[in-house]
Amino acid sequence: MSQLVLLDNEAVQALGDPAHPKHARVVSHTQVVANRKRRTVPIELAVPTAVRVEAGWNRTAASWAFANRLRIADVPLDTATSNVGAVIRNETMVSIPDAHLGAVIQSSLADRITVVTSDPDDMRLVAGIADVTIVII
Amino acid sequence: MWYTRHMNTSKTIEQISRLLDSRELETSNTSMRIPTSLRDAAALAVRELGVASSATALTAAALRATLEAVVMQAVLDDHYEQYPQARPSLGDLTVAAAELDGHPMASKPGLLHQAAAEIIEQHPDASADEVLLWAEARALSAA
Repeated sequence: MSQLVLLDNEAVQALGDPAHPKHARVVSHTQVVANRKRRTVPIELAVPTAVRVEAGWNRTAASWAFANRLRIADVPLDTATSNVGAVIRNETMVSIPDAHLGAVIQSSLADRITVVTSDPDDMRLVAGIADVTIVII
Repeated sequence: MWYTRHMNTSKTIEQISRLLDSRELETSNTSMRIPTSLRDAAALAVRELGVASSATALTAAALRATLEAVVMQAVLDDHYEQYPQARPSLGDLTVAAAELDGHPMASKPGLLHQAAAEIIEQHPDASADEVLLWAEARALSAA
C-alpha cells in the first residue's frame, strides 16, 4: 500500500526551523517516514510547490539545508493540477497554496494520503471527497 | 573533529542525493555479484507476480529506495547531533506513526508513550510500528 505524506505551510516552517515550537513533532513524522522507507515501505514525503513558496522555502538557500537534504519531493503546479486547483479555489475561496494542496490530494494515485497541517478544517475542505488522513500539528 | 566528520557526511549526502536526482538515462553493466537464489526470486516475482517490468527494474527500484532511506537517516542523524532536543523518543515516534496512519490509538498519546516506555526496557530496538501494534493489542484485550 503506497502512502503520500504532504506538508502544509506551517509543517514546512516547523521542519525548517529548529527553534520552531513544532519542529520536534514534524521531525518525528519525518523520522517515521525514514524508518518505513528503510523497510522498503512505499511512502513518500512531498510538498506542493505553492506551499513551498508560501513557506519561503528556497531550495538553494543554505538556511533550508536540513529540509533540502531530506528528499522531500516537490509536487509542481502543472496544467492538470492547476485546473483542479482553480476549481477548488473557485468553490471554496481558500488560498492558492491550500488549493494546490487540495489538487494534489484529489489527483494523487497513492493508496493512502496524509497531510501534516495546522489547519485541519481547510484541508478537509480542499480534499473534497478524497479520503485523507489529517495530522494536526 | 565533529566539524570535519559533519562536513564529510554532508558532502557525501549531497553527492548521493545529486546522483539520485539525476535524470541521466545512461545505464551501465556492472560486475555486481548477487546470490543466485536472490536473482531467481527476483525473476520469479517479475514473471509471475508482475511486481516490475524486469528483474533489473526491480533491483534498481529497491536500490533507489534503500539509498533514499540511507540519505534521509544520515541527514536526520546529523541533525540530531547538532540539535539533540529534536531527537524523538520511541514514544514520540509511536504517536507520529499512529497519526500518519490515522490509527485510532493516535488519540491516546499517553497510552502510546507508556507502551513505548515499557517495551523499550525489554526491547531497546523496537520500532514505533511494533509498539503501536502492541499497544493496540493490549487495548483490545483490555476492552
